[in-house]
Amino acid sequence: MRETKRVDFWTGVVLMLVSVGVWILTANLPVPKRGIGPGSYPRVVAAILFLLGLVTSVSNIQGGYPKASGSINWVHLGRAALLAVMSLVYVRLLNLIGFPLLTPFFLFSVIMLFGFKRWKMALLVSIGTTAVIFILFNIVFMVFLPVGRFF
Amino acid sequence: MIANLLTGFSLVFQPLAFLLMTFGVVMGIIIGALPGLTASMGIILLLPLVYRLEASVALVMLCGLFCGGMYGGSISAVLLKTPGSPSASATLLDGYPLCEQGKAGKALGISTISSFIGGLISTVCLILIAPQLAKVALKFQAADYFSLSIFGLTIMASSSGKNVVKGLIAGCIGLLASCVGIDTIVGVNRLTFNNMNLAGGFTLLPVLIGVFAISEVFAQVQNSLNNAPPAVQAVKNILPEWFEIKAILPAALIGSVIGVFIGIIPGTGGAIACFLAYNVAQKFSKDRKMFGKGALSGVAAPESANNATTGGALIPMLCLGIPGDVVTSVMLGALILIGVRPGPLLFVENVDIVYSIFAGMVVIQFLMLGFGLLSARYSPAILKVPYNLLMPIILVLCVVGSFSLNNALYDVIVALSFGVLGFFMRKWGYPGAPLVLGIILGPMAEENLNRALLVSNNNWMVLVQRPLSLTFLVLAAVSIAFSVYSVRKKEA
Repeated sequence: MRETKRVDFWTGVVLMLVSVGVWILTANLPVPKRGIGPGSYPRVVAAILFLLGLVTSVSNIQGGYPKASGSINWVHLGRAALLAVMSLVYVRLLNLIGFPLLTPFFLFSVIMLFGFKRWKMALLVSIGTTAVIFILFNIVFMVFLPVGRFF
Repeated sequence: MIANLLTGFSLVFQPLAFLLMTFGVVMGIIIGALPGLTASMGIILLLPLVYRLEASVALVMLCGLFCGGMYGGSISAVLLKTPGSPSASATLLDGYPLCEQGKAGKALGISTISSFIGGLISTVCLILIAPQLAKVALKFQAADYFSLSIFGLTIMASSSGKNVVKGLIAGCIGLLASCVGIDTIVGVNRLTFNNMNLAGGFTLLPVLIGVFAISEVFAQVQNSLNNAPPAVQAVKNILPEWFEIKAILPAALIGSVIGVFIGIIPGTGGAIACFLAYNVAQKFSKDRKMFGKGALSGVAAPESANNATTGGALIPMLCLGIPGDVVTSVMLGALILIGVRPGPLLFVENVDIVYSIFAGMVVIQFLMLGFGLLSARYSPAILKVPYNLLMPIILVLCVVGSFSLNNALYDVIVALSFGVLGFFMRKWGYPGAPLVLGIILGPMAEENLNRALLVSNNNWMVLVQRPLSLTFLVLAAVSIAFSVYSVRKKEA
């Protein structure tokens, strides 16, 4: 719980900063004579968020700055971070390399990251799934997935 | 009403509608049975298909998945002592002891029949209550709608997590995210940082995919190395005897009534209903000493209750546009994607859609009963699906699903970003449902507040001068106060 307390304290701080940011960014938006202007509504929400952030930070720092107890599992977190980076790279390369060529590699590496040990099966699933999704979306749903610049 | 219902039945018995409804039920049962996969994720994965279908056909398929998913959670609760969804948490209390006694088949049979009873009773309530509530809701004015959206958001925020402040924070983040893009009132860019992509705001589909599906994949990759296929015993003798069905009827009826009632209250859902029904059924049961040791009524009460929430949860969603639980909040998003705006006008402008949902819900209960009893024998095989193959496929489906909305990679980036946000929110105890609801209800709240102020010449008192509006605001305050009180009481 203490680990969450420290995270919650900093989350509160970040939320207060975000609220101030929203307040500043909406300062120059037009204000109509009647009704609410485009800036008023986000400002009201930002003010509530600021208060909630303040409550979160203050309630978690009562009794001093919370100590982190229990170590963070960096291996677990690292695997999730690696998956996020892999996904981002995959999306970024989709237009260049194309769905049919890139997806089997991506799927295979994610399956391996998930700890599946039978690589032949993983390869088969990667190629098979890519083919099924590509055909289904391109022919049935008429969603034309990127084919890349090599075709 | 009867004529409308008959028209609804004729729609759902059309080959494509019936086929997709059956597909929804079967998918729901499979997804619900697999711990970690939820009905909301199932609906999200079907969204690329959904918005290419006729609205009524798409909706009955989603309802099938909703009901099937609710029932499917009991399979792993009975066989693995791990509920497939939070709604089946109470089912394992007696379901697993029955499994240990070699009566897994009987437990699954009772679970299927009770789910059928709960689902059917809730559907009848849906058909009877929803049109009446819609008639009342037609009298709502702008101030009432604003207060209603605040009420919906606060009740979801205060009930979907352990900490009401975290729920409210998630809701406010959703409201702020809904502000991004071109403002609908004056038409100026708001919080877009001069980025052309952000001018259109955050589209709902990528947000849903990110918060509910991609975040789950990120969460699963953390502990996937330890995943081994579970050992599950064979399932035999599924059909219970007639005297056993008669014995569980009182518990199933108690569960159904509780489930419908809980389902109607926005922000609650099957998890609360199943425990409440279990406790009440235990108090009224003749064999209460058997509860926890393998009582059939201990399976019947929670299973009827969680399936009874399905019809109940659809009532506020269809009539008011306020979802009853997490799954209906995703369904609400799906409805908006299809171009159907839930609310009282739906009952005036789209009667065919409403009554095809009603008719579909009736048919779905029978499909669930049939497929539940037929598939119980094969359920151990479902539970052996390797997660480390399934999750990567789901991730690719998420990418393709978010891309399919506008054929734009920007939407995939949005989905991934909300996936990362959802992952950390989940890790640190911030519920995802209020965030999504904030994005859905944000524009409704803003537009109606603006309209109320325009009509009243900037008189903010209009929000408390109208009795309905005042009632919703008081209920919103009470829901927060009650949550804070409950948490304090638990801590003391």
